[in-house]
Amino acid sequence: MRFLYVICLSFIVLFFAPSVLADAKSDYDYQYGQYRTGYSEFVVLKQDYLNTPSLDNQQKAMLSAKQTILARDLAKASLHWYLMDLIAGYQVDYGPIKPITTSLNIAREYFLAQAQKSQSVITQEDLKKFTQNYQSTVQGNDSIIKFGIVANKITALVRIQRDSKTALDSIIPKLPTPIPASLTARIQELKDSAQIIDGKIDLLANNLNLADAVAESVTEIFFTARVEKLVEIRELQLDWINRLIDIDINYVQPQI
Amino acid sequence: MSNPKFEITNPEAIKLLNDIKSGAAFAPVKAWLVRYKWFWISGLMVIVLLIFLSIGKAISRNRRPPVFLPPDIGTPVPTTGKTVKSDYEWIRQNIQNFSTDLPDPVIPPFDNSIDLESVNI
Repeated sequence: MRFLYVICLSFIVLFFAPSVLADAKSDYDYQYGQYRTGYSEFVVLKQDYLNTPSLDNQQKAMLSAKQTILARDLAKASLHWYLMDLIAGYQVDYGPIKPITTSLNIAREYFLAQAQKSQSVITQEDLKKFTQNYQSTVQGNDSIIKFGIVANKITALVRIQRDSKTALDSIIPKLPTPIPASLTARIQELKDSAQIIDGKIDLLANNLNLADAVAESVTEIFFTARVEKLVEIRELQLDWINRLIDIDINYVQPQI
Repeated sequence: MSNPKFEITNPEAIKLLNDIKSGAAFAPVKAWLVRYKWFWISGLMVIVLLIFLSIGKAISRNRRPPVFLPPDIGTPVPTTGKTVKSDYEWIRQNIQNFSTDLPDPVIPPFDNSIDLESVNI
């Protein structure tokens, strides 16, 4: 009887689980919304306190500050989780990106720890010390998010490369035998081009220097320089798949 | 064969005949015509105009210029047949949908200096 009860309960949990558990994107949207609301309230209350430094105003501003800090660090942790979720969604095992996903996770844990730590703040002096300590340690963790954003794009390109390679591998056995010499040359060209694109993606990934993350992430060209590379690789991939589809249509698909 | 002869003996009829012969019977009509001569002349002219208009309309209806229409070439039929589609179209679609914009997602601004010190506001 107890066994039957457990099975029924499991079914109920499984049925309702997707609607109850928030996904990474919605969690981030919610947490950031909380931060925005909390921060605008905090700015007003802090100004009130500075204009009229009463005990009541101080208490209100302190409570608001604690809530805003909690919301801020939870929002940052959610953003890191969201990026990790996006990267994992491509289901690609790509070595050069692993240090970044690890760093994203470490940064996420740091922000969760800070969110928890902020709740032990009681006095204004505690808050001052907390913020000073936070500012001295947060830069490295904040900079990781930029690397994560680029890593997400790189993973998407790697996914396309893997799919393209699978497509080529599946087309070759379907080609008419003996394969004409011109077609053999075209397939070889595709293989060579794929290697060139792989090389460009590897170069882009290996140029993400985590060791000097803070200094590198603050440069203005951090994103712009990489956008150029992304555009170039995307164009190469598009040209590659156009050539593959041309072979597929002319040699593999039944002609009408 | 005898020729029958009618003799009018009714004095009113004789008077009427005499009036007709002398023209006295038409005097009121002649006076009315003279008095309203511009009315009936213009009325007459309008009637004549309407008659001519209807005659002209009838003539123009019978003599319409011929309409030249192009020969019927039938309804155009689309020549496109069934296009051959590749099984790998979805990869091309993925590449086309891939956004190269950075940062994506956008990093929102966060205040890292939340405290109650006046210098930070």
